[in-house]
Amino acid sequence: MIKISEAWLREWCDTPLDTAAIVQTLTMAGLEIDGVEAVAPAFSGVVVGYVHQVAAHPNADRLQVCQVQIHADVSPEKDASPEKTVTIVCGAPNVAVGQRVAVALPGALLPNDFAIAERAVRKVSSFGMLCSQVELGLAQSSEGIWVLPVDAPIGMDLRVYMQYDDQVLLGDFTPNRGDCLSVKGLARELAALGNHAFQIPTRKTIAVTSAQKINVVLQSPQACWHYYGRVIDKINPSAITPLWMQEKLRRSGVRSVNPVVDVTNYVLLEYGQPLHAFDLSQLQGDLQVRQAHADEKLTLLDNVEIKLKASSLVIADNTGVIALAGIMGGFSTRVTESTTQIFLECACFAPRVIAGQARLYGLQTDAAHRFERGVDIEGQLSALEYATALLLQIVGGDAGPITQVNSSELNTIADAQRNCIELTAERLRRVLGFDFPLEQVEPILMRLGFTVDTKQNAWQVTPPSFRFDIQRDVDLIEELVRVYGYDQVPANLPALTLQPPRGEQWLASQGLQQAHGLLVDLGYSEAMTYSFVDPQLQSALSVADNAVINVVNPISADLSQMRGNLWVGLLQAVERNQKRQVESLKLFESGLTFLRAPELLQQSRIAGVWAGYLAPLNWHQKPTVVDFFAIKADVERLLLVFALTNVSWQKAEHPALHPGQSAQLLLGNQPLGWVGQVHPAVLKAFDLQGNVYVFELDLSLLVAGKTDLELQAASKRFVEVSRFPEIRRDLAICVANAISVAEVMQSINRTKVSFLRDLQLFDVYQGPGIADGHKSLALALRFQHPERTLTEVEVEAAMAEIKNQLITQLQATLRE
Amino acid sequence: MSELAAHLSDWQRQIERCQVLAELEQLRVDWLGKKGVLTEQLKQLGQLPAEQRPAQGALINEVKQQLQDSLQQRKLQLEAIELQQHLASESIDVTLPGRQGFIGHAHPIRQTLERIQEFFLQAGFALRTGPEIENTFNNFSALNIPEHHPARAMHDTFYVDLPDQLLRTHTSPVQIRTMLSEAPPLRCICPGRVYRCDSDLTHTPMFHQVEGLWVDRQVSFADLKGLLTEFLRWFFEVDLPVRLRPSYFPFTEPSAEVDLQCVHCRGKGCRVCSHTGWLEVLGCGMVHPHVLTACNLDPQQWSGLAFGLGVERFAMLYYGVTDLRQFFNNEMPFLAQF
Repeated sequence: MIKISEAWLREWCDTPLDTAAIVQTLTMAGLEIDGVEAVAPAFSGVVVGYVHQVAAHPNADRLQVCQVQIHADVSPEKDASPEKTVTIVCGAPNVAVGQRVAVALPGALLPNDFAIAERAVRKVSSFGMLCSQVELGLAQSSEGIWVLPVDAPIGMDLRVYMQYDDQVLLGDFTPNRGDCLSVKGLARELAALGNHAFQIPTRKTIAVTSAQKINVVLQSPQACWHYYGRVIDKINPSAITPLWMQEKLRRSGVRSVNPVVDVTNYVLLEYGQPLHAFDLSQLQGDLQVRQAHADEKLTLLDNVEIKLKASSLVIADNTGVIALAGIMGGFSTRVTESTTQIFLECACFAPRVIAGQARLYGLQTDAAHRFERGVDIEGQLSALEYATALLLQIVGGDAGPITQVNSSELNTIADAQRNCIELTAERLRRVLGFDFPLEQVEPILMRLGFTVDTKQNAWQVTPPSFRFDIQRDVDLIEELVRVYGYDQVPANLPALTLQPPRGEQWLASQGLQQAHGLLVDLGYSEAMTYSFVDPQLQSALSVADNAVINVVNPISADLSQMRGNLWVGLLQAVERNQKRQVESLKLFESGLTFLRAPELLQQSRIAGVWAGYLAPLNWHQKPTVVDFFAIKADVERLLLVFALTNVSWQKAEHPALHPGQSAQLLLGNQPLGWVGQVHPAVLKAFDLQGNVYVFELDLSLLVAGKTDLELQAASKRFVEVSRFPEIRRDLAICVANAISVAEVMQSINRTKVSFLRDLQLFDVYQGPGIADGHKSLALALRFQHPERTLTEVEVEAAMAEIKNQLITQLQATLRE
Repeated sequence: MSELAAHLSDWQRQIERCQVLAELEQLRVDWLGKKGVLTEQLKQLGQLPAEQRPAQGALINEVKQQLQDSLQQRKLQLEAIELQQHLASESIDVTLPGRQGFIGHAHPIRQTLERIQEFFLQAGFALRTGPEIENTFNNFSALNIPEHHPARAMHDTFYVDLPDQLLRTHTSPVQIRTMLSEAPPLRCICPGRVYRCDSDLTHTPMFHQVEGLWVDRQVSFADLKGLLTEFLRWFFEVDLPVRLRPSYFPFTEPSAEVDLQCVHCRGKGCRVCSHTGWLEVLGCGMVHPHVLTACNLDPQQWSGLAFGLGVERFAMLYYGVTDLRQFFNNEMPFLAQF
């Protein structure tokens, strides 16, 4: 964000546009003005006054009665007639004869609706008030009344004197437009956009009145393109920065430090050229511009020592490094209250040399901000001369001759930055898609400072020295259409060739969309949780430490690890909802998980959680807590979406799940996912209440079912429905508890009975009547032949075979 | 015989008084059953003189017929009454809620994503996705963002403890992957999660983007403007003015921000649009020649248009959500509204 005073801008660009139009013009040309701020709060009726007399108040110890001149036509030095002065009672201890002060006259309205009227203060009538900066809303605190400069014109409205009706434009400029990070640069742009006059103030040359000189040795010609500097001797260390300069700095968001530093900042703001002043008395011998040696140290202006990296460009003298080039000066050579001679540096460093360096040391400076975006290659001399003039005006002294060192590789550098680009009418038409008015090409580019050689339907164009973003014809095309107006570009609805969706990615996305839709239908709401999670919670879920991927620069410690599964976020979401008295909920999420296995593995997964009850609170059913088979049913439905035929449920243990209520799903023999009850220890770690069940499946494996066209085709193939009667037989058996239902089913399915069409379990019983350690199962078997009616004999034979198999393989007993 | 006639009227009164089906049946048995009064009389017909038999027989049969009719009629009446009573006893309060399970809700970001995708899929853009931990080439270098370039600082990047890997700051690397693996002409959109090291009222460190790319022999800036104008009007279901404003992205040239007239105040200026009347909703431009070259495409032969948008911003505008962070709190009172 850059702050630019509108009044200052108008010194450089004579435009008839009002503030709103300036904002619009710049914004629509790609120089976004984010806002406009008043430079001072609204107040009225305040004028410059001259304190002619101060006398003690007859009725109050701490008050004084002042005679103040407020009329312009009176010379303050002569005694004024009573009708030209007014009496004002003042409580400020710093009021003194001869001061120029801000006087709020009766009728004045100060900030916070503070209305001023003529009134008696302890029986002395006071015609208004002498103001402090606080009362004018200009400062948070102040000691007494505001004393104005001695040349403040008496009687003038303070708003006029201080240009308080000025506004500050808040520019949010993109990094390609470093050339607009100054009053001059932005004025030049505004002038070009509106075809207004860009007025470069004429400055007189500085007379050299001192012979003092510093030699500069440029050792890095690639990194430093120009190095200018000069000595200014015998400056007045007790001078103060004039109010007008302080005020312009303030409006630009820069704090006033001392006159020398203020001038360098002022020129940076106005010209976009960073400067640095060294205390000459602290310099030893010649200056060198060179790369830092590894482990060299430098204490910066802010008294923080840094260890330099060899990638950094530095300024050094005979004693060592004295400044981080283009970023910040050193502490030992800084300008102080006792500095009487300075060496003023004004250089041009290569953007790519400065780029990233400030961040490397955690620094953010106005100089680095500009150098890394590019500073006008030809701007050093005028900026140095201007800074010298301002310094001589404020702190006095004698200017020495200019030291000027240019890079030995300047020609190649300049060629690279300002290469001649060819633009053709054909390219212009092709990129833009409409007929750009060709007669406007040359004038627009000229206004922007480009050198243009117009040929037949082609232009040879060289960018100006301050542009670092113009390398190719498309850059020129953007300049042209930007000034011509993006608004003028026609909106063309393109004719598109048919491109029907197909391929694996399409099928996969279809599958995912179906899965999402199904889960929503099954009552799950979709959660979206951060991909980075709390390492403690992740370790509570037993994601192995050596498998996790850490964020090197996390927002906070609890968002510092990439999630290794989706349960972390889902369980946190359940916790958050439980805290909000949502006692039952179903959530799901799909997304990537990140593991080191040992190579980076980014796996697409889908997971769900079901906490609390089987159904929302209702009138027809007592609340029943969720159980394994409820969530299992949902997972089974989900598997159907992907038409996978060889998924098996295995009893298996997972450290985050209840050891007796967890299952691993296998697709063939590939691990597909987990389903189970969350382990009590995990519930505790997440601060969760009640029963919580989760599932997580590898989405890429699921989706593989969707993209396996053979499998898909098989699952879609129609099987003729038998017209012949179906025969049902029920079977009740007892087996040991250790034998799973799946084993019983598999055993039955392994018999050679080809016409067993359907097999359903309809009862599981343990208790009286059944031997300890055993369970009773009731199964319904439906037999049907596709081509004929089955006979009683065939069905009985089949039942006998099945029973026999169960008895011999699983030691089942029959209950008849 | 008047005796029988007298009985008949008495019996019919009994039928009419009867209120219960079982009693009615008992009456039928009493009169017409095997040992019923009338049955007995019929049996006794033989004892009458032959000349009386036909008349007496006819009379008994007529009485019998009348009784049967009356019984049947009464039976239907009583059945109807009984059914009515039975149905009345089964009456329920139909305003009791149905046996509802949990009602699921797709996340508003998902719904917004799918809405955005719908437009572009219909325009023949293919869906492409990619990894979220990316390498610096795909995320930066190939997109004309060299190391230390100030443009890299525009993206506050999260790095992970793997060499050369970061959390992608945009979904543009998917475009790079697509251009490297598929031959032009191609049209694709790349939705997904992206990450930036920024967290305050208006930024979450993770958010969603949809980026689009169209590489062809001759696509132009005017096409870009037309396509995006149509898209915005379709998405927000209102024909508001759309404007393109010059901007800068390292991977496009010319580049533009796309502003839509504020959907909330229709350009008058309000809080939603920071009193500008416009909403910045999209970034776009013509694919930079460096990017095409990095993907082995000749910029003289191929041109491309690209655009990108933040899904959360679209969702906030579309649904009127005011606090971005709510999207990631996953609280049911919020989710259940979508």
